[in-house]
Amino acid sequence: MSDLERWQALKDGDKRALEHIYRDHAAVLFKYGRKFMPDAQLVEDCIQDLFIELWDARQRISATDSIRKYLFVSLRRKIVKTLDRQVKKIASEEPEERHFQADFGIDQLLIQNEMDAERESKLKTAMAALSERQREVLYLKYFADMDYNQIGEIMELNYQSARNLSHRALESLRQILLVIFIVWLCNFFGLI
Amino acid sequence: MKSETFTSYTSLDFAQEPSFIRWVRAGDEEAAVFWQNWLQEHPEKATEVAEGRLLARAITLREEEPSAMQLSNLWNRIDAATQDKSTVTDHTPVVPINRGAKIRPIRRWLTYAAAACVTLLLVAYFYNPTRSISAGIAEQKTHQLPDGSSVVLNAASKVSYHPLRWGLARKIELEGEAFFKVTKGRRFVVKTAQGEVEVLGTSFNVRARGNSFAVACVTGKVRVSNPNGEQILTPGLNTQTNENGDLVAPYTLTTQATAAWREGKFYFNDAPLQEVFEEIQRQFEVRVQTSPEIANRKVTTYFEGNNLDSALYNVCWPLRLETSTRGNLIIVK
Repeated sequence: MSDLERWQALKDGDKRALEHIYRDHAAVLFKYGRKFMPDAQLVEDCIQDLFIELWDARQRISATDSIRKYLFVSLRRKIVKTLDRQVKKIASEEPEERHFQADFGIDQLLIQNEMDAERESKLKTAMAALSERQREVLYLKYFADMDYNQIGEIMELNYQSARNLSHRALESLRQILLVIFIVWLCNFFGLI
Repeated sequence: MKSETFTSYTSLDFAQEPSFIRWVRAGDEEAAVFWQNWLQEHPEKATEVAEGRLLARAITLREEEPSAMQLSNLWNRIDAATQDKSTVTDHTPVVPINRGAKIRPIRRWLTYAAAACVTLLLVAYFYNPTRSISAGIAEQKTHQLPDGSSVVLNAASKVSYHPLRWGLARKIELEGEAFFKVTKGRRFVVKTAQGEVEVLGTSFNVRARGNSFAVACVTGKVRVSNPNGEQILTPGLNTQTNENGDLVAPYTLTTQATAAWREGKFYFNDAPLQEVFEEIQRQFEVRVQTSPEIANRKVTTYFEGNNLDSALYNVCWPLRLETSTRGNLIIVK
């Protein structure tokens, strides 16, 4: 069943459609939510509210071509609202940036042989230097299989900004990987 | 997918193309076919594609997966909260859903438990760190084995064993010289490059250095074997390899001399001077230089490990040999 059909079934009040949607996306949503909220219980609460509201509002929801994108957009808004409320409770000022914490690393298979300790620590520093928005773009791109239109909608950016953000993040990664890449390429073509 | 637009792509563009990512990261078959064909038509882009692949593949992420139990419970809460508002016809699927939610966690849990057990056993069997204890030059070391047996290592000697397997087989490897005090129990085996010593509960000394292999039994009973044969030793008896590599018939050695190295006393009975000098080198961190004729001379001698000068005097004076010292080098003529 395609996303469009499943969504239509939900709008028609089919409870099984809701369960299918939950089973297909709950784990990914949970992992995405955890990047903003270290507290797993809070993430569960957000997902629970999200699905209950989705069911209650099923007749009014707009059509979507990607259920996952729709859920990511909704979950992110919900999390942002929850976090803003928390921050306001503690200090009554506007939150500037959301914390998106993803523990990125570099594929060990790539670095095992060619890397010395110094370069590996450089890589780690570069990974740590990525901004939170860059992290989120990379996460959505490589771990949630989203394209730029979807990323733009989720992060409330236009297509070009999402693209630029991702491009810059990858460019800094590429600079460091270049050395490894050359060694790897030489191995690949049997030059060494 | 429009193949033409990709010709202007750089490695960065490739690394951000969704179907390209699916090919590299998820091994998506449809994407793989597309990109392999595309690459064949555009061989000039091979380097860009290879670099793109590397980039797209490079990022990894450590993240915590929600457990099946956690997700099932969460669904049950959502299910309950949306229950009342659902129409009667919607109730039918609820039963199978609940059954699925209840059975699955238990079955999963059992699977995980079984997997964990198997992994643990495999790890215990294969992950077998060897414990090595070595004594350096001019050093002696006492080490207690897991069963309470003890090893005293002479200078420049090393033993190694598997602590985890110790309960199953008491097997220890030795390079150099060591004195063993074995608690009663299963077979206890000392393996050296020169031969094996097997005992039941006893104390004995093993020397395995260079070509020389000598075992002295202090208490209990010891079986010594090497490729050429074997000898059984009872207390006070000693055996060693001769020039042909055979183990000589057990002979008596004063218990005072056996393993006296533990008290810093070194006895030699009709041994080549070479052996004596090697022991001096190990005990005092010096180098002894001499001619082959002198080195091959057989001596019965004794020295103590606390004073180099008196040791050299003890060994060399009776043989009318002269010694001169240059830093760490001792020349014997």
